[in-house]
Parts: sequence; structure tokens; C-alpha cells
Amino acid sequence: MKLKLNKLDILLTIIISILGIILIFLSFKYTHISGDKVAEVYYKNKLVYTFDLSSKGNDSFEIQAANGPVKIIKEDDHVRVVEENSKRHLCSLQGWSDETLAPIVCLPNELYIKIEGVDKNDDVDVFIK
Amino acid sequence: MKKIISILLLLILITGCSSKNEKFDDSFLSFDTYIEFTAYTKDKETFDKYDKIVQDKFTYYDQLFDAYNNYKNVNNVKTINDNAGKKAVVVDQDLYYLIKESVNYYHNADKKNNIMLSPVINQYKIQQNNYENNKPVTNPSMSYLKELNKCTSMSNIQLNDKDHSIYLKEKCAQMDVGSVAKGYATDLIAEYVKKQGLSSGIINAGGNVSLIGSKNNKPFVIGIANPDDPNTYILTIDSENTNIVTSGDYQRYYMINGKRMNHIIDPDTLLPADVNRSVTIITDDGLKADYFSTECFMLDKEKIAKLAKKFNFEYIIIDKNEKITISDGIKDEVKIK
Repeated sequence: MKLKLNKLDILLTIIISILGIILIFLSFKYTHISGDKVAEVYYKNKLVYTFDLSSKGNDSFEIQAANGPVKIIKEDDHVRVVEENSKRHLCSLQGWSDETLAPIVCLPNELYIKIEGVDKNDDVDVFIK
Repeated sequence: MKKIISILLLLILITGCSSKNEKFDDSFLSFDTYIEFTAYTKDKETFDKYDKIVQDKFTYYDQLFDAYNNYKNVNNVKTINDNAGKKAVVVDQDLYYLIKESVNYYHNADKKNNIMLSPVINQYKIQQNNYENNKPVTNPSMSYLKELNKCTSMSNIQLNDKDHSIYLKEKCAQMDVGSVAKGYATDLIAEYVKKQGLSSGIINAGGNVSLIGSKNNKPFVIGIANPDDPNTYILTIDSENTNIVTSGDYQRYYMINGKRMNHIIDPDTLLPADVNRSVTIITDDGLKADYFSTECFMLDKEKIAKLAKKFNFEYIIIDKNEKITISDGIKDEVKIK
């Protein structure tokens, strides 16, 4: 069967095909949290400080938390708690974190540090401890 | 032929215009744990709507299931305990159901997860608190634990289906639903946000996970912690639309003479269970998953297999010799790292 198309038909077909392919590509694109990697410090569920983990260098932050002062330091792309009051330093014992699946949680001090940004190994959706 | 091309082009356009969901997440402290909520929604505004629902619901259930604090106009577990030996307390249907199901499971399973064991468990919590505060630690006296154990019978619980009231017969009886509450609450909240329109998401409440739908028609990938290094995962499960709960010996514990004393106390020995490093339960019901993750933590793999068949759940066991046992129903979905 011979296909009878005029020039307008052909032009419309091409435009709609290109549009459709672009839209299909965008609809399957999977967006993770984009942007630079940061460590967000929350106290009583409110954001109190942000460390930029995408830049080299050191930084520190100290806060008067529920049980006393908590000091957090950043070295290049990772953070950790170095001082906390009265506890068996369980928060400090969690060590360095630079991964979104490994937040540092200090329940008695009502403080946690969340890593946001794109991970090198983003192969799990949820991590059950 | 023109018609065929038109239809094809229309199909391409419709597929292309289908909504693209983005991943958003938030975290907060509630239920004495770190909670993460992840959802795949069309925009941040939609996510924020669900996020607020999730946080408000966790606050509500945290108060309802609390055994240690009173709240204005809330009859919770503390209210039941305060009236032990005195009078029945009418409670919210969600709390009533939680207690009733816990009693049912207890009597029909292996009688290990006892929600009345808190007088004994609290003695270990004191030592855990001492450990966390750098104070001297000592194991509770066994003779004292046996004395306290006289008040921990599940037969203390009197249920009234007509008015949803709970009565504890003995004055010394104290209930604590900590071994079942988180999994139940997480599941209830997941069901609620599903009804509000959320089709894809994850709620993770300190090891109690509810999966909502899937991730772009693919299952979610869940990492299970390595007991020797809980900041890394030892295996993954692919799953969707279900509940997963893990109980482990690395979560809350104290150390004495080089020995780890975990937080799950065996009612038969009155000592921390010493059979497994972690047990993960996968099933459609969050309360069931939480109940059996605690119960099975205290059992060997043969008994776990029997319970799994009777109550219809899947499991992953990491025993104290680090041997991993996976139930047949999920073997294809598990990858060991």
C-alpha cells in the first residue's frame, strides 16, 4: 500500500516524533537529590548548621545540646562528632561519616547529622540497622 | 495509513507526557529513634504535604504507645499502667488492637515476646543507661529479677472488646509495647499516606520499614546491617509494598567484662538472648513483622521456620556464628555482599 503524505504531514511527523522522544527521555530520567554533598546538623529536628563536604578544608561547629556542648568537625568530605557531654561518647564512637545512608545519630542530645548529596555507591534505597 | 501514524504519534506523546516523579526525603527524631521518610512525588510541595502527615502521625502514636509519660487527654500505655490493680482504662482502637494482637501472637507462637516483661527489662535499661553515662555497670541480681518476674504474666491483661478497655489485674503489673509498637505505627502511617494518594515511598523508623509501592515499577533495594559493622550492609533484599523489621544485638546494649548484654531479654532465662546476631522479618503486616523480629531473635532457625510457616512470613537470620539463613520465599530477592 503506498503511503500518501504531503510535505506538511512529514514535517508534523518529524516534529512530534522529536518532541515525543525528548519527553520519553525526561519521563524516565531518575532524579536523585542533586547538588553538592553537604552535612546538615539538626538539633531538636531543626537545621542548625550545614557543612559543605564538596570543598576541601576543615570546619567545626559547636552547639549547646540537650546534655551539654556537642562539637562536630569536618575534614574535607567527611564529618564526625568529637566532643559530647556526659555520655559514653557513643556519638563520637560512630566515627566519620560521608555517606547518605550513614547519618550520625545522637539520641540523648536530640541531635543528628544527615549527609545530603549524591553518593559514590547509591545502590540501596533504605538501610536497616 | 495516516491514521496508524497519527495513533502512533499520539502514543509517543502520551508516554512522553507521563508524570515524572522525583525523590525527596526528610528525617526527624521521634519514638526515641531516628526516622527517615522518602517519597517519589511530582514536586517538593506534594512531598511536604505527605511529610507533615507522617511526622504528625508519628507524634500521635509516640504519645499513644508511651509507657513512661502522661499526656493531656490521651489514655496511653502509661495510663493503663497507672491504673494497674485499680480499674480498666478505655483506649483508642489502634492501641487496643496492638495489645490484643500481641496477646494473640504470644499465646499462639512461642511465648517469647512478652509485653508485660518490663519490670525485668527495666533493670537492664538502668545498666544500659549507666553504660551510656560512663557510670559503673553491674548485671542485675538474678534473685531480684525472679522476684520482679512474678508480676510479668500475660494473664494480667484483661481485654474488653465492647468498650476497648484494658485492665491489668495486679498492681505491680507494668506493660511496655516497645517490642511491637514501632512496626505497627510505621505500617499504619504508610497505609494512611497511601490512602492520601502516595504511590511510592519508604518509611524507616529505626529498623522498622514500610515500603509503599515500588520505585518506578522496580522493587526497592533494602540493605541489612552487618552486625559487626552496623554502618555497612551485609546483604540486600529487593522488595515492594511490604514491611521489613530487623532486631539486632548491636542496637542497644551495655558491655560488662568484655561481654555484650543486648536489649532483648529472654523471659525463660531473664537474661539477654544469646542465639542470634540479627533477625529480619519480611511480611505484609508491620505489627506481625515487629512482633516476630523480637520473638525470633530468641529462637533457633528450626523454630523460626515453623513459626514462619504458621504465620506466613519470610526471614533472614544471622546467627551468633555469623551464619546467614534465608527463607525459601525470598532467596531469589536476596544478594549477599
